[in-house]
This record gives sequence, structure tokens and C-alpha cells, in this order.
Amino acid sequence: MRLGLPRTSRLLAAAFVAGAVLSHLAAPVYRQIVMSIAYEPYARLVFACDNAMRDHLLVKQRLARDPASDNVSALEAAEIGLLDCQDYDQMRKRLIQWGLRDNELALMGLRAIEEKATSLHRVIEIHEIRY
Amino acid sequence: MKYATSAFLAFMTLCWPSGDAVADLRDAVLLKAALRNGFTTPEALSRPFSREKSAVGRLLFESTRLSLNGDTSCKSCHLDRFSSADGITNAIGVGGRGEGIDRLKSGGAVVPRNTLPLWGRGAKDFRVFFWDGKVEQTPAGVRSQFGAYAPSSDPLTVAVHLPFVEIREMVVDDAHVSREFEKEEVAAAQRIYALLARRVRDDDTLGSGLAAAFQIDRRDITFAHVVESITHFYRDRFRIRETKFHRFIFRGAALSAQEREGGLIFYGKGRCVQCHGGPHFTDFRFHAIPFPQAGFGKNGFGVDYGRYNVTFDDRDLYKFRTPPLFNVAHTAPYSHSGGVAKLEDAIRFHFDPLRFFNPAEHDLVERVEFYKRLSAWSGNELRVPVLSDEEVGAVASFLEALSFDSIPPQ
Repeated sequence: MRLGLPRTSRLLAAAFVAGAVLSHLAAPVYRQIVMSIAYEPYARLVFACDNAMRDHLLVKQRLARDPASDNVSALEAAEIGLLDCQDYDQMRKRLIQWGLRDNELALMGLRAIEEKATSLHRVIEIHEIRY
Repeated sequence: MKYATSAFLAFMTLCWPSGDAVADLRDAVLLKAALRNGFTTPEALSRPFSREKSAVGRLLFESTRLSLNGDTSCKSCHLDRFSSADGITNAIGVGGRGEGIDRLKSGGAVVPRNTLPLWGRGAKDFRVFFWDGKVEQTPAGVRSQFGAYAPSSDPLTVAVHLPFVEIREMVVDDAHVSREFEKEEVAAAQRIYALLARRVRDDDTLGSGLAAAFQIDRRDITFAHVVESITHFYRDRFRIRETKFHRFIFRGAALSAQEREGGLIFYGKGRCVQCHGGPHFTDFRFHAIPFPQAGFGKNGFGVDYGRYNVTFDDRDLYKFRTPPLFNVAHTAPYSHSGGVAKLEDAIRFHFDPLRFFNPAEHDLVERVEFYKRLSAWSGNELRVPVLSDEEVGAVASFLEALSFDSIPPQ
């Protein structure tokens, strides 16, 4: 059966379908490229924010235990340190704006957190008791 | 890949609409933190001085007649070229010649501490002097080597008295000095002061200048007049002046992005402010940082016990007064013995000293001494947490913003 459409329209329709298929196939590749480019600074901010939050918690605990002026000023400094988390949030939102989804961001975060896993494997390789 | 990442981030930054709002927030946080931690205007720190006394104080500061053997002046080690320090590791006192590395090579007597710059020493609230705080203002009065016989209730005045009677610094260590003056008594120092005052009275320029500045007869000049005119010179020449950071805080001028980030680290996660707080960027307390020991040290054999030498309290071992930070970017080398050449490395020593330590380069005694310094440092809960090289660079950039012209207009 032949469609009763002019030749130009058929071409446009074919181009549209091809474009849709191509963009569907290319999206993961695009996201992978964005991930690989953004990974390093993102991982840095994941660490910085995590570090700032842990530091803040530890200082708060210390202040609760000992309300000395040094601990008060340490808490004030740790609060400013939480600006690292603002940087992290902003980069996360930018990456979402650039097309990454929660899954990709979670994957990047996990990779950053477990970056030292290779050295742990190395330690196990060296020290595990082999029967 | 690195360039691609940078380009990507730069592009993203440009596309991000809230950049100004973020910068505004950071500026506001930095401003509030600085003010909360005692940062103030140069005027608020300034102490009044007499121009006449300062002018003659400058002549005295530059005069070698004020060293017992006549070859060293205050200016020998406090040079404009090095922002009021001397640019070398350990100071070189009597017998030294030239400036900078030439002085180090000249064979003069080694004073086993790094020369301290003089910025702010005449300012309000500056209350602890020298690396080990051997002169300090306490609620009970000035504490110093003079004990109950302190020549003044002003700590700067007491501090200015000391170099003139320090062996190796401005007094040659020979048999005559050893026999006549090298005694643990204030009277020996007073004999040197009397001798130096007589020299000033006998000098036409110094004597008549000092007499005119104090409106006294030249014959009535005492060493107290000499010291007082030098303190006026300190308050004048080494007063705190306006820095880029002052302009940011009090006049709304902009800092660079790197300076702002450095400032936020300084007042924030770097916790630098916990020791370097207050109007002079020092808490005037004593802390141990495992800096390398350059030279033979105050206690000999490459050892410097720091504050312990003043208090004899073993909790003070290896501790030194927190150094003030105005013009710090121009007063290298750093630490009590000048063992650190770069400001960035001086910052790194606060949290990553092992980065610089190669055990193979040190003998057993040096290694064990290092472990002791490390131990004194590691017990301190105020330690700086991890900072990346970029963050260290940002802090150094912020410290550069605490600079002002080293050589004021004459």
C-alpha cells in the first residue's frame, strides 16, 4: 500500500522518525559524556560537603559536652564550612539542568564515596588468610 | 580531559543565573564572620604618637651606637626590603654584614629564632611580644625577664628594652661582656642602658634631637627617653594601614573570587580564625605546629622548646605565640626558626606536616625531636582539617589581601 503523501512530506516524516530514534539512542551516550566530564569536580564537592557535615556534627557534640568559647567559635567556623554543601547542591541542580537524572547523580556520588575501595581490596589481598 | 572539564564548568557557571546571588551571600557571610571575630579599622587600632619623637626614634632605630660593640642597629634585622623582617631563616645579630642572604653568609652571630616583623607592635591590644611571649601584658601587669623591676607598665616599652641587652642579638659574646654583664640580674642590663644613654647624649644628632623632642636638657637624657622615642616610631611607622580586606569590609570594595573563597575557608572550615582571630589575626596564645627546626635552636642541638623557656611548664613545650598576619605574605620565611620558605607550605604544615618530612634526610635526634613536636601538635583539637591545594592557594590569596604598603610615605 502506498501512502498518498507528497514526496517532501514523506522525507520530512522519515527524518523526524530517524531523529527521534537517534536522540533516543544518543541520550544515554550524552549523559555518559556529561557524567565523565563532571565527575571529578562533582566527586570533590561530594567529599567536601560530607566532610563539612561530619565536622559540623562533631563540633556540635563537643560544644554540647563542653560549652567553652573555643568550641563556640569552632561551631561558627563549621557553620560557614557548610557553604561547601551549597556548592554541592548547586552543582547537582546544574547537572539536572544539563539532563542528568537522579540515577546518574546517585551513581556518581557512590563512585566518589567508594573511590578508596580499590585500596581496601589491595589491603585484603595482602592480608587475608588463605587456606 | 582536564581542559574539557574546566571548559564545561565555566560554561555551566555562565549559564547559571544565580551566580551573583551566591557571591552576595558569600560576601555577606565573610563580612559578618570578620566583624564577629574582631576585625576592625586601622584607625581603631592606632595609638597616638608624637611626630617629633617618632622622627628621632627612627634615627635611634637606625643607629649602630645602640649596640654595645657598635656594629648592629634595630634596622640591621628589621628592613623595609623584607617588610620589617630580614628575609632569612635565623636572625644574624652582632658581627653580621649586609642584608638577606649576604647577612646570613657574613659570619655574624646566629640568633636562633626567625626575625619577627614589626607591623602592629605599637597598636592597641597588641599584648604579647616575641615568639615565646617573653614579654606579655597580664591582668596583674607586664610579665617579663625584668620581674618586679619592669621599666614600664607598657608591654611594648618593656619589649623594646630587650634586644639591646640580648647576647648575640645586639651584644657581642666576648670575655669582657661575659665578665661584666652576662649575669642573671637586672642591674647588669641597667649598666648597659646607662652606657648606651651616655652615647646618645654624646652624639650631636641623636642627643640634640632627643632633647628637642622631649623638651629637656641634653644632659638629662636617660635610656627611658631612648626607648620611648623608639616606641613612638613603632606606633607611627609600623602602624596597621588599610588593606584590600579593610576596603572590602568597610567600603564595599570587591575581593577576587579566590580571595573570597580563601576568606571563607579562613573563617570557616579551615578554622584558621580559631587561633588567628581578633584585630591582629592572633589570639596571643601559644600553640604547637610541627614546623621544621632550622638552625641549632634556642635550647641547642637543634631543639627549641618555645614557650616552655619562659614558663618552665612542660605543657608549653614546642609552643609558640600565634603570629599576627598583617603583611604576612611579604615576611617570608615562616615559623619560629624560619624553616618554611613559602606561605602556602606554612599553611600546609598546620594540617599535613608529614608531606614535608623525609626521615632519610634526618638523623636520629632530629627525627625524635620531630616526633615530639608532632605529638604536641596532634593533641590540639583546634587543628586545621584537610584542605586541597586549590584551597590552600585561596587562603594564601586571602592573606595577600591583608597586605598594605610596607614602606609608608615619608
